[in-house]
Amino acid sequence: MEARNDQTRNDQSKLRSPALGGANGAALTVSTRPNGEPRQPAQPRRTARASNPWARGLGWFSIGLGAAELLAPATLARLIGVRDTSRNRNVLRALGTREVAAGVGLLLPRRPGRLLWSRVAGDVVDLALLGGALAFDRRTKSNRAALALAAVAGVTALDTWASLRRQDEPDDDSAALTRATARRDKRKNARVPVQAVVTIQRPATEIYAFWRDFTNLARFMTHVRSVDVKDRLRSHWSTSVTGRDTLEWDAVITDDRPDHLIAWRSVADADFDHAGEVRFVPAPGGRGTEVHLKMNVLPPAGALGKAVGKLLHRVPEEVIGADLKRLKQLLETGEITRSDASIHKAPHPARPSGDDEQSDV
Amino acid sequence: MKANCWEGKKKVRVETVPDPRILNDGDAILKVTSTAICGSDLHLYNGLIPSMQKGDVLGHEFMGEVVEIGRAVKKLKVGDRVVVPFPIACGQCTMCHEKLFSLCENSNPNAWMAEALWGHSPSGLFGYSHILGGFAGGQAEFVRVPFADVGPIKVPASLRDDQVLFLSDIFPTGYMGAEMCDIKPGKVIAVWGAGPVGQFAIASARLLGAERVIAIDRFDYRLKMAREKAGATQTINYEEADVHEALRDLTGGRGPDACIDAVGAEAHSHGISYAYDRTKQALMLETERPIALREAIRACRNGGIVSVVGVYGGLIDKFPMGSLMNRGLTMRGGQCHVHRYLEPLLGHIERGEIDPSFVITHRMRLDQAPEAFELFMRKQDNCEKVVLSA
Repeated sequence: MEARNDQTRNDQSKLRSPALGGANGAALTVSTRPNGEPRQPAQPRRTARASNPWARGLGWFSIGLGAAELLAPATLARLIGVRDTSRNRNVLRALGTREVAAGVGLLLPRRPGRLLWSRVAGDVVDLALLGGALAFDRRTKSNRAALALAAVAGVTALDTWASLRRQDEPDDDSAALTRATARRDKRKNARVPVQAVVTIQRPATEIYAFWRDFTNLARFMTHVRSVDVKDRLRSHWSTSVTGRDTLEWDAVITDDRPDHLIAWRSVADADFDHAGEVRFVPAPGGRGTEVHLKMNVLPPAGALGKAVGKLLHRVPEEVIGADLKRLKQLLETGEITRSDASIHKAPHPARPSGDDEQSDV
Repeated sequence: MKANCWEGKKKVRVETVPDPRILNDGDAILKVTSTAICGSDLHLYNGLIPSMQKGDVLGHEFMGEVVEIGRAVKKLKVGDRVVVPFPIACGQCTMCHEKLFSLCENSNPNAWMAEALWGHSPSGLFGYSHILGGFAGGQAEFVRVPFADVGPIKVPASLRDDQVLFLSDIFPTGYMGAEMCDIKPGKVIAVWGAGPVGQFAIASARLLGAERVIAIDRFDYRLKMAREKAGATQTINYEEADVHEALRDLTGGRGPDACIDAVGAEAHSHGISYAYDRTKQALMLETERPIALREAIRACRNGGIVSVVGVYGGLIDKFPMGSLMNRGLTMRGGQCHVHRYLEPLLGHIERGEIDPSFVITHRMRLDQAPEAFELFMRKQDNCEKVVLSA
């Protein structure tokens, strides 16, 4: 039973409308890209962590070892048989800083490949220092140091193996691929699909009609201030994320199938470059209609845009999920449910608010 | 107005806060005439329920007089005397249509928080943390009631506040606990916890026709109330007897046909298992102390039912899954779908079949709320249930 549900989910995720997927998406519309570049199917969502478990494991190992070197250099020195002098302690602290940096780097989502090699380089330094202490400093406790040397050699082997293994992995994030592709492709890779779904106890016809009148969207979408419908296909959107900023764009409908689907995309030079579609699918068992909302967000060009885009990417799925819940409240109960705390944008105790506090209602 | 506010762990204070306003067209504002402190308020008091904020108005058991209604309210008018169910329900969504009111899909504006913690969100509740909506509670002079046409029930003037107040939570909650046991004549039911919900679970099990009801607690005054007022046929003081053994003796070795957990997350016990759970809880390795629940599962007869109305918030440890699975037990639980019990239970009260006021041991003023919380939590002065009024 569960397997079948998974199957259904997979099948649904494979369904892509022309507007999001193929080149014929522009059939209804003015081409929004000068070169008529077809939109690519949404890419699978990236996980927010390094995908290679070895890289992750070694990352945590680095941080642990680095912390020990930084915080307890004297104890560590005794443990590995090296003399506990202030010079040795400082060397250990320096190595600790490097270990922590390498570890943090490995745990970040992008390109652990190069950082794994940085671990190998660090291992070589460690081997040299330990070997030196063993060979040239007679006060080194040789059996402890030899054990430590063996341990570092083992770790070096592991790091080298993980680095080589990492190189063989196909990875659209890898440095080589990124360098090899054109700037536009970089933007395309940065495109982030976001999606949300809700079941509403209303017929598809009613929900479709409500959505198709875009001016209604400002009633339940938090960040949308207003939508002006210009003609059958075109509309102008005005939104604000913080309340003080404004993002505006023109959108054009790319596909419109009454009671089933509406797809749109922003036209060139939009502040918020994206394509979206909403599908209305009857829910089983007379439970109304499933509303599937899917959007591909293209961050603005340029380094700054990319940075802003990265920040924005984390938000939308929660935002549009909450938006759909409000749509459900609106269509099922006629109102958006408010609580004493929810009428405030910022965290606020659940108690009635006075007149002076109503400005942000 | 005055309201009892949560100020942090083990700290509540009666403060002056703004009067509630109509925020949705379906709202009503009540002037609260009676409100009570619930055992589940103690979970908030003890800091077990996440997402409380300083200044939150507490209270989900209350009744009062309608003083203002929103434009869309049709069934209520100013002056009506009503009791309000503690879960907030819209009456329009699929769950409400199926009478699963405490699972309403539209009444929790903070559904995303609950989804992160529990996978999906239940309904909003009055005065019960931000995960459950951030609604101001009813331990106050006035309270805003959303979806006023769906929840509140009008009560006849012939019945005192004391007799109908507990329709808001503990009477229906205890009743649902008993109802989930599929009681038929001849059945033996065991109830863990002789607090207010436990008392109503016992009384409801009798109303539903259980032949024997066994109450389990550690306070003799509560067990006495269970025997003399609620209708328990036997009682076990777990500080004096081994519960598992005692239940075996009382049921001819079979175990109770159904077990009701009316204790929840903050069970007390003695010995190693209690120390174990206190320690794990302190280290945040589990959020609750499920001692009563574990005991109920192990004690239940083969193929029996474990009904959970005690409140849990997060994760438990050492759950006896093997006992549940291998012995074919059924486990049921839930926040009470109060709305569907209001009319039938009001009927029982009107016909004189039960007078819920038997649980009340203390009547205090709203501004004594901090004192009342301490009294109730420490079970001082044989405290069973505190009712507050203005």
